[in-house]
Amino acid sequence: MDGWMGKMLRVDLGSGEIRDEILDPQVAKDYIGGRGIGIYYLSREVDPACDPLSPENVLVMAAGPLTGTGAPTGARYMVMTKSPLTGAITCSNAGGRFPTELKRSGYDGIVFSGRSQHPVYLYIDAGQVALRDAAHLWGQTTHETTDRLLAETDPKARVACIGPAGEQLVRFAAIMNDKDRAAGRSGVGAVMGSKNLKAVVVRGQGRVSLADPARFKGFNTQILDKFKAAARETPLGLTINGTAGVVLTTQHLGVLPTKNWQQGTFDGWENIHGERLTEKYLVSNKACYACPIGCGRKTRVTDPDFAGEGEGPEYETIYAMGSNCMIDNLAAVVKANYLCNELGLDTITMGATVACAMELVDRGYLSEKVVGRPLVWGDGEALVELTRMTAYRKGFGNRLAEGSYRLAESCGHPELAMVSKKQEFPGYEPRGAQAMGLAYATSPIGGSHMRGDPAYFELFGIPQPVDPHQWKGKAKITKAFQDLSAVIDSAGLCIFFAVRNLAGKELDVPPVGILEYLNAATGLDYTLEELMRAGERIITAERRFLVRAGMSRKDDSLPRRLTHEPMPSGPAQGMVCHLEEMLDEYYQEQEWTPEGIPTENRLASLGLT
Amino acid sequence: MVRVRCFTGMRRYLPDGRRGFEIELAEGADLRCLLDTMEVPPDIAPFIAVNGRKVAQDHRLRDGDEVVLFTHMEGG
Ligand code: SF4
Repeated sequence: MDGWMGKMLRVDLGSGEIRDEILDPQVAKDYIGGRGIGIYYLSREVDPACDPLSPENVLVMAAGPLTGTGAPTGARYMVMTKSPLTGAITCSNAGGRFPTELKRSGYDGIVFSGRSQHPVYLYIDAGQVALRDAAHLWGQTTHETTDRLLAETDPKARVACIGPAGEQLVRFAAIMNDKDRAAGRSGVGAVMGSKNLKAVVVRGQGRVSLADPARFKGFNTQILDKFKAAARETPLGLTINGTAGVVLTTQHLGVLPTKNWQQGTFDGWENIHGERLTEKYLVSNKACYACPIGCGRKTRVTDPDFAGEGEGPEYETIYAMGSNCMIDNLAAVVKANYLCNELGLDTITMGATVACAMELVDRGYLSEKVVGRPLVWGDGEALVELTRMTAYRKGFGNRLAEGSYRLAESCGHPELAMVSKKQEFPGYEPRGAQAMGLAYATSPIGGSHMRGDPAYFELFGIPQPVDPHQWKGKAKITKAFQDLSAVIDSAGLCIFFAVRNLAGKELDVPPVGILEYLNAATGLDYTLEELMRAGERIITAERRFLVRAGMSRKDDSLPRRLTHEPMPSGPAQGMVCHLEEMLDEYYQEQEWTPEGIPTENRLASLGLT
Repeated sequence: MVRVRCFTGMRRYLPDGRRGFEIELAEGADLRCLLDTMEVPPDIAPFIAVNGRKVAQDHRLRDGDEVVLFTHMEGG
């Protein structure tokens, strides 16, 4: 096969059996790769009712057909499994270099099942695959683990691993690759930990073959030339200040979640804005494989209280740990980010859970005696200490390790957890960006922006500006963006490049550029219609998994704060999120019942029966 | 007097190293007038906030307004 390597690796951690499996070409075409391949395997092999941390759960790591081809941002892989945070499926993706190395090692992906008796890591090198003892790595940080594995295998290899948080089954533990890139969300690292799988090390010697190299190269040159010319005209915010630059936009639209989502603007915004990060801490930009944007930040903090070196923070981290906790000390946020990377934690859920704890204390629902230290809004030192305690489940960290929903519920106030399907939101306020609320509520993985990101059209005006305060008509555009994301995630691309450069300028965002790349790489001659159907198939297959796990409309929800309490101040003052109205429209667009169940007709038309 | 602050891509319309300025505009001037004064080409459509709220280019400025201008923010 071209584009795809045509092979999946099956690893049964219980028996130790390892074998290759042919990737069925029809499955590859229908599900593209990455996220699509993930849901294909999970649908067949995982009981939706299973305990996510039991050996019955399966963890899939899969790259896409464009990963490693040289297509811009074709750098990504997806981790899919049943989430211990949400009980739904999850897909969390990351870039860096590991995914490309995985392709070059000859595999499109790896399917892990069962549980090992003792800690192991998987080593793949030039057709040799082995499970090796990892007892000496257990307890090590992600950076220590990576360094030791490179020293004992091959310095040119690439590593994805968990830190102490994954070992401790923290419900929002991440899988880190290339040290600081995170498949961060929904506890994929805890699933790895539950399987006693510490790391995956790959060394690839092969290359990804292209069906029509001349066509691929021609189109690539055209796309990159256009991109570079535009960037010369107006320098790209993502390159200058990273995603952290988005603070400017959200603050001025009144959608920067602040004080555990009690406000939409933050007085201290200039202290946590990307420009401040660039001025004070940036060492250099960092780009994933084949990426012309380079939004990654290599940073260094010298302030004695928070000294450290590493990557980040992203905008989402800055909102979750900064404005949301009322912390305007950027050094503290950066330090907590470093700890999350090294200990293997999701920064969004970590910050949002601390913010929730701050509100619980503020309202007298949780005592500082239980927390074991003072916990007031704006306390950066508390953020850093609690992050460390969470990764090791020490003291109050053991409660935080369960995420904000379980924490707030145990204090008798689940309504103070800012979550959908028990997963914490990224940093865009649905009261001032209506479609964002719909996207959070209907995302298969719970509160997330990466599975269909309305911020593009509501906040950034891409491909066209749309009034963020209006809810009517948002269902259609949100669905189109969700379908587009499914295609991007499955092809192995990064949303930051693909939405702007590889989709049409109409609001139904047809993936025209991805189509050309895919056809040149795979030689399969997808039609645009087929590719868009593939996106719909993936979304619907994910929904079917959720329905089988007992979820329906009742789970497509937002906290009362966002749907019933008007925004108290700022540009979105007086607004609430009109979720129920949008849901009615959305289910119709999806051909799901009013209860959010895909109809038999819909399933049949997508070949899902 | 109107106070103007520029971020990201809009800094290029200021003299080197400057991040903002104060300006006296004619009665009834709108944002387009301000952008013209700064020699911002008509095809550049920056994000404009006045006193913390997003506005369009035909929004009229008043004495004491704080204007924030920036371009191309995305990601997350
Ligand atoms: S835009 Fe950023 S996250 Fe996306 S591929 Fe480039 S460097 Fe990686």
